[in-house]
Amino acid sequence: MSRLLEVLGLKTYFFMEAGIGKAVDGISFYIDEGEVFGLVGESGCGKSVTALSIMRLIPPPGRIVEGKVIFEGEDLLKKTSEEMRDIRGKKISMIFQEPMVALNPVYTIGFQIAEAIIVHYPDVSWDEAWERAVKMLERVGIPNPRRRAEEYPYQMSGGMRQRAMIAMAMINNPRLLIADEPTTALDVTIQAQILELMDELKREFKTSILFITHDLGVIAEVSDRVGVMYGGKIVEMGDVFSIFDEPLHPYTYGLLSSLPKLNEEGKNRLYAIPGVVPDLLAFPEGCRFRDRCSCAFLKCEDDPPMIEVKEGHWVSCWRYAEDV
Amino acid sequence: MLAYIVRRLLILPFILIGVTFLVFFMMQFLDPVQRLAAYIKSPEELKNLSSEDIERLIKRYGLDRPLWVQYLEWVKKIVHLDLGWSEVAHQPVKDAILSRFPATLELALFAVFPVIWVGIWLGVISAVHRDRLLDQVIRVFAIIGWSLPSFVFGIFILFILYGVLGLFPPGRLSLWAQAVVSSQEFKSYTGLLVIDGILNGRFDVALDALRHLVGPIITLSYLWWAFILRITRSSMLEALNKEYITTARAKGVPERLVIHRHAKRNALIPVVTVAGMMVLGLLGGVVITETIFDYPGIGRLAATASQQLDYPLILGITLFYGFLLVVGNLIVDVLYAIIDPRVRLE
Ligand SMILES: Nc1ncnc2c1ncn2[C@@H]1O[C@H](COP(=O)(O)OP(=O)(O)O)[C@@H](O)[C@H]1O
Ligand code: SF4
Ligand SMILES: [Mg+2]
Repeated sequence: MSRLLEVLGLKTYFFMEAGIGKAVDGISFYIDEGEVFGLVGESGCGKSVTALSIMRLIPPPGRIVEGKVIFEGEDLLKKTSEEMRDIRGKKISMIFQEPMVALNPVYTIGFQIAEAIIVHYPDVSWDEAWERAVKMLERVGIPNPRRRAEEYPYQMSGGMRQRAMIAMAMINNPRLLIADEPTTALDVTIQAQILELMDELKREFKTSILFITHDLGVIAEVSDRVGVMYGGKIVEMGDVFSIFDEPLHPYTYGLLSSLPKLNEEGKNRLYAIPGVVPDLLAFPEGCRFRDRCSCAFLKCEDDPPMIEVKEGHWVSCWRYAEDV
Repeated sequence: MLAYIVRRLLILPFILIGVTFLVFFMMQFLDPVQRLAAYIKSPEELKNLSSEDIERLIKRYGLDRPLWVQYLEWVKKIVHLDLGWSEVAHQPVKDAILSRFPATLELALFAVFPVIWVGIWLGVISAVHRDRLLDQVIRVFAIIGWSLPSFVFGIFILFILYGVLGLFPPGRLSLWAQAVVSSQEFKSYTGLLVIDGILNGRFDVALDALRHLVGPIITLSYLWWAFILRITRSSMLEALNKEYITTARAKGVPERLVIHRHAKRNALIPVVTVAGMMVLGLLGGVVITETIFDYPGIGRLAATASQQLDYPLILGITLFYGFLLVVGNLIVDVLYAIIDPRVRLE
């Protein structure tokens, strides 16, 4: 498998009056072709900012201050804005948590999908783009696609809207799909259908997926490899089995032990990790998890290094540093 | 879309009945003699009125009859556009309104398009350049326009355009053009002098009418575009923050289309309301601007009528304005439906 995306030391900060919010602070990971990489962590840990940084869609006062985003061998951060525009929606596309607000309320579903074609292939006629949009709607399992294409987002159910959103993202056969909490707003049965659809499409189109969620259950189901984020950093990364069977980082450990057995009822779990995620400006120096970690010790006042404990299984925690 | 318009049209009569109710209700604050004024048809009738005559007329028009009978009689009259005699205008109320309204309409038509177009255009620019120099400059201009009283700005414009440049005089027509328009050969097709002038082949008259419009148009435009701009800017900023804008960018839509296709269409929804209010305001007459530029519009007519307690005229204008409001709101609603599918398919 060859490397599709490699994020290296990415830092995205928000320059606010109250201070610098280090929303993403030096994260590195890669995604191979055909692979699903899951990014998991509590709300506010920087998952969406990571996704938008890859797309180079960070709104002010945010800015990517450092790092590389190597996609198909080229650094996206060095592309001109026009080159970048052409990559978005054609080679890398994105779907969002709430398709109701992510779709434009005043244009039809068909128009919004067809538009995604036209902006990249201006030679394609609107009629043809519309036809392709209808076909794609059919492919993502929307019944009566020809009529549905004429409808507006508010006329569809949540599940249908997310399917339409997926159709829009997949219409140009992208190499990478970034899915930012695509099932969080949906109820459990619809969630399962959407996950299944994404899995089918991934195989059919050979698309890699960056799958973002705060739900470990979903991560276990869809990912090949997983990155666990906390406070703008990836604290642990490895294949899905290593992460779930032998979690190393105290944070991952906490997340997992607060999870009811995966195939049991009751998705409304509460994390048993003490304390709350601090405000972005109020993280402690050194290990950002320090004030919530039951294993914290003196060394933790320094930044912990990324340590490869086993092949392909990385953790950022002083407990695994050999010379301590 | 058509179904929506038809539905709206179907409730129109009910709203109109509501409007007449309202005006009739207000009339009840007048005593029968004051109300009687609305039934006098000519000055002769007025002159030779004795108190017995008044009694007789009150009886004749049933002003002492039960309210609902009075209401029906009154509605019958207004349906025939019989609104009584206006002392102030020295003509029947109907004619007074119909002779002034085209002047107001002409002014409104010429003011509305530049105001809305420039207001939206600058509002979008302002939002896109938020807090940068261009935005600041536009906003300073807007605040001045917003806070300047129209009598100050109007007089200033009159002073510059007429006093200094001598190019754009007050009034509606020059004397010679007035003579042409009053003559037999000049046909009045629309009552709008610029258009009638062109239709009659008298381009000199059209040009003269246009010259007289410049001052009021500039005054009204400057005051109103600030209003449109503010609404456009804030709703545009709101729209640009929406997630569907991120979606549009994420699928590679060029920034120009993100702004003008995805954000603007949504941002225009509140602008339609404000623009509708503005147009109705302009059509109802703009007293101060009309007064400064000696422009014979309906606003001044209404002001004079109120000052001199010309009841028939006041009632006539109120009814007329109520009618305008109803039609205007209908148009605004249809525009809403064109822009926003959620309204259309409700
Ligand atoms: N536009 C913004 N301005 C300021 N701070 C922001 C902005 N967007 C995100 N952040 C901050 O960045 C951090 C990470 O946010 P985000 O990536 O959205 O978290 P999540 O993991 O839930 O997706 C949060 O603390 C948030 O407050
Ligand atoms: S580095 Fe220290 S504080 Fe951070 S997770 Fe490891 S043990 Fe806990
Ligand atoms: Mg998020």
